[in-house]
Amino acid sequence: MTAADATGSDEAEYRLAHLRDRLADDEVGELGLRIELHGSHVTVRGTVPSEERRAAVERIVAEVMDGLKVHTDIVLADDRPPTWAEDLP
Amino acid sequence: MIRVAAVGDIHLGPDSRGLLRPAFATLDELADVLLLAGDLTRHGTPEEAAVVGEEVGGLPVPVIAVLGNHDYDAGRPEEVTRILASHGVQVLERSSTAVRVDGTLVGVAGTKGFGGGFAGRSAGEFGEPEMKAFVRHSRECADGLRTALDRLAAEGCDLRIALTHFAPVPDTLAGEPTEIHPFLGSYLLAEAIDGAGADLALHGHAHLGTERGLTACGVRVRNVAQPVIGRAFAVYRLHPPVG
Repeated sequence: MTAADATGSDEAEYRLAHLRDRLADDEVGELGLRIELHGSHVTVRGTVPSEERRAAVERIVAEVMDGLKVHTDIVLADDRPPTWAEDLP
Repeated sequence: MIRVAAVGDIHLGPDSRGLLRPAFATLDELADVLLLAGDLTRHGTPEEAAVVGEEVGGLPVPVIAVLGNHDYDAGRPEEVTRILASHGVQVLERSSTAVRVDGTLVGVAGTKGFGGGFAGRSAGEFGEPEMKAFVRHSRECADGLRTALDRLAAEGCDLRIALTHFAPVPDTLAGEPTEIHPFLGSYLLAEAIDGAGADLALHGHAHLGTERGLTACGVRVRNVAQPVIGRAFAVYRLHPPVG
């Protein structure tokens, strides 16, 4: 197999691995997202603290996984106090 | 009855200043102590630590924390600890502290902890120096936790809480890919908690995990990573033993 054959899904797998490093190292510092490759589709889900962080994650994913279909389901953390407490008898 | 508020993995930075303060300001009505289970910052820079300090500084309840792996990323954990301390946060690492709440002495033993995996599927202190160093760090964190819990027992604490960033059990990792469990926690922490005894074990780190678990000897474990608890903090009511 030549280097030129190393394209398509294999190459996408490596890009996915590098995406994780990029998200950890970059200003977003996000390690807690679940990112998966499904053929030519990439899914990203998890929780981030702010709208800015979500936009940054979406921007980086689109950049690194360019050419693949990216689907995101990133929710914002709920910063409200709890309405109940768990009793531990 | 003691009300323990806890949260981990808040990952604050300059753009999140003031985000959690409104919720923390309600703590005097909801809890007696606030415990922070690490990953308070994104990269552990002094600027980020200052934001955390401002969010939790001057609260009406004691604030006790451990650091997480993110808080070590910039290589300045001592500075992060100093900045948090200057805002009144007590940062534990293989150490303990006790607070008295209405006559009940509540002890908290803390360590960041580390990975290595869970019983039967864990890394051993064997082979290359890098591998030995990895597992040794995990063991030293666990040993420090056990010593700290033992110390709290000797000091006569009515309730003892183990506070870590990494997970002591795999129960609370459900939802995380099993392949990464060895990077999320270590059975050594659970062994230390069961060996010394505790009334509750709190951890963070596993954003995609679940809230509730149990050690082999029945100590309740709660994953308080903010994405898991789905609110600014969780509150647990503990009851000191009678008599």
